[in-house]
Amino acid sequence: VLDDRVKTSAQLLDEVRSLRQRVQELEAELGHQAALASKDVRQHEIDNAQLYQEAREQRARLAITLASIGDAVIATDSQGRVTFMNPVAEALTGWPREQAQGLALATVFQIMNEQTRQPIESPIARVLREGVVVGLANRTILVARDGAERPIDDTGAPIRDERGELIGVVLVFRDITDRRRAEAALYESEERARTLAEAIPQITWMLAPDGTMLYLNQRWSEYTSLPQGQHWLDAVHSDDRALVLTTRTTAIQTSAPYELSVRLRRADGVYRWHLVRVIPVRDAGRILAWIGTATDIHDLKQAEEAQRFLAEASSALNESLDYETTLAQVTRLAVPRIADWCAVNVVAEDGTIRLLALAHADPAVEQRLRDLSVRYPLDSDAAVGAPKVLRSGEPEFYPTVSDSFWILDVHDDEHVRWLRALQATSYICVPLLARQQRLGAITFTFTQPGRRYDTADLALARELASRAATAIDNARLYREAQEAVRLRDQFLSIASHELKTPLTTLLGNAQLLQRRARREGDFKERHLHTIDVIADQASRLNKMIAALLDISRIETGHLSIERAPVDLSALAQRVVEEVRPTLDQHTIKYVALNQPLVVEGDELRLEQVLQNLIGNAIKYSPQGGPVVVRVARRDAMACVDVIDQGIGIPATALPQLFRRFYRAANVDAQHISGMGVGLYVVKEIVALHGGKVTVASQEGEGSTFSCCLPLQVTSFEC
Amino acid sequence: MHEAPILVIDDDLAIRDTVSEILVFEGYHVVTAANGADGLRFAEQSWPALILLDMRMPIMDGWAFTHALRARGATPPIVVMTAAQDARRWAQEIGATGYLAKPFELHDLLDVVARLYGI
Repeated sequence: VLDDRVKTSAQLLDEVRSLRQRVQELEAELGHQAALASKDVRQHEIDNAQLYQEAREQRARLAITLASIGDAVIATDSQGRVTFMNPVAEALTGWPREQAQGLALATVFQIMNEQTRQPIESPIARVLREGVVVGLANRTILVARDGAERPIDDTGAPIRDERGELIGVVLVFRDITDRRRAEAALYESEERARTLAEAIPQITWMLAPDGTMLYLNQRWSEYTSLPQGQHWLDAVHSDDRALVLTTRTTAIQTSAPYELSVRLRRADGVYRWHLVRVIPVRDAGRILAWIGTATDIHDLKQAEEAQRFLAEASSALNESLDYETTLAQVTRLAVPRIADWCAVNVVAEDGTIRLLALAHADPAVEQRLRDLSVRYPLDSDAAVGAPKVLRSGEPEFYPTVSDSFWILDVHDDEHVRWLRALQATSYICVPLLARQQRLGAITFTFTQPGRRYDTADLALARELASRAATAIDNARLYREAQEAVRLRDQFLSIASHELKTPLTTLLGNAQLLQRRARREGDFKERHLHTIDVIADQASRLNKMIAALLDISRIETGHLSIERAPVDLSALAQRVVEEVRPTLDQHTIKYVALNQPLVVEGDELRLEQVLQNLIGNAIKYSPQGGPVVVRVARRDAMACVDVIDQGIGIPATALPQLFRRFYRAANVDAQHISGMGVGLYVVKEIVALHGGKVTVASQEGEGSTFSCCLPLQVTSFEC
Repeated sequence: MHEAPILVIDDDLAIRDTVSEILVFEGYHVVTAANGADGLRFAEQSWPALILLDMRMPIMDGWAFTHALRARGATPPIVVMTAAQDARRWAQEIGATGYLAKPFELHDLLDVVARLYGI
């Protein structure tokens, strides 16, 4: 706006000059016309009157124009005395035109230098002396008649007559107080903005509306150390350049602010992630410039990435106990996020170091690395790498890998060539430690220039190694346990089998002796007793071995059930009848149901279940007492309840009663021996029949065991 | 006294002796063999009324013995006598009439013999 006004004043000045010239021309014309002896004097008079009229109108218009313009105008004669002032000039100088008329300009127009406060030579003097248009020096103060000071802008120009004689000076000036204030404010705000731009830790820049770089702050040069004149794009990671340019183009087209993450190269060659935000600066909707900032978010991003990676790696590790597979997955997760090349080496059972998992960003290189690991197996005495880490139990951390690093443990020249070709730039190797054992080592390597490990990476590597080591350890322990279980079952099976043959002989001979003694009657009573003891104990041993074998069969999944219709009522009754003659302290009662209860099952196994439950009822009623065996039909189930009034089972023991080798706490106090096998086998047999065995008991008052099996589905129901 | 013998085939001498003793005490005539091949020779000579057969034996096992015996047209009842947990299944496999899972009680042996002898 200011510029527009300045232009307008200059134009006005021109207009004034041209008007004056026109007046002079007209006057000259008038004189010329008068001088001419014309054919028609009257006509001349008429013409002259018209010309005079015209000249008067021109003068009046000039006066109005001068009075109307916004700038102050003062005209002087050739002596520098004031001949004309417009109202603005009157207001600014404080001199009314009538009083100023005829006064020396220096009286009316007092000016001085703003800084020195020394009077300045009147521009009029110079114009008069040199006859040229002059502008006042900057920082001019006009001192009004009342002493008020105002900064002004001012131009002086000579006034010449038609012959070119200098007849006066016209001075145009204006009050620039407002402009000066605005300038000062602008200067101040620009200064502030620049100071801000230099003070903040971010990289800051300003772009022209078309995207041309106008300004980059000092931080940029400090961060990148790019030489003056080198294009800023050179500091952007080559993979990110296209994104930067397309985003910028789109933003310019849509006039929208944008944000993106890019890697910027630091002076030391390391690329760090920055968050770039660029916003348009608008004036009345038009974009004047773009202002951008880049904030270093590398550590934040890395920490986030690390956490995400750890979470994914952990879930992979926890997924299965097949650690060979899970570690291969972990190396895949690591590349390229936290390494360009990741390898896991483990200590094999024979103490050699074996490559377990490997991943490289380039599949061809990965294959080459696998070949290398076969061709050049790791030497456990090697000076660097996994062997050294395994020996020391401490990580190895080389933020920058030098060429000589690789030639410490090479086998031959070709090996050196291979290793150099891998172009490792940064390297971490951490041991896999679990329960004070060194299980192996994980190696992370960067091969791309600009990627470099720092201490945060080392911490991440250690954390990962700790989780991986735990996973390996757990998996190995699990395998060992599985193997131990398998060996135990195998041993149990073989041992029981091998015990059977001598037991058969022992049992057969003892019972033969018993039979012979009873029949032939030539044994003494105490010999008979001895023979009975041998036979009884052999029988007992037989039952125990049979129970152990059952456990072994259950564990190995070899307990098989041969199904055929079985009447549970009849079976229960038979078992009760067989047991009854062997009792002396106890009574046993069978409570029947007036209908058969047919189930699909293995009669021998179900007999074993009932014998066991009844045997327990007797065994755990050491004071003797009644035992009731009751058959019942409950919904579609055939049930046998075995009820005793024995020692009962503590409430805390009930949930675990059917567990293998479990024995309730109160049996020891009663000195009742057992292996904790019977009820476990009962539960398994009943489960194989699709049934369920349950118990209700009160300690000291007895127990009720119920064995329920699905009834056979028959076409005719009674 | 039963005339036709019971053939006991088992590679374990103690078992052969024990089973033999028990059966002899009950009045049976017993011949024994340590493997299927010997058993087959006895069977061809003496036409047993009942065969008590162990399954896992050297030289010729229970399966081969049964097969060979059947091939000769002989069909005496056979009782499988084994310590293996598959006694019942093996008995079915070879078409035996019964089985005795070692270790067995004396009365189990006598029951099965009484039931099957001479049928």
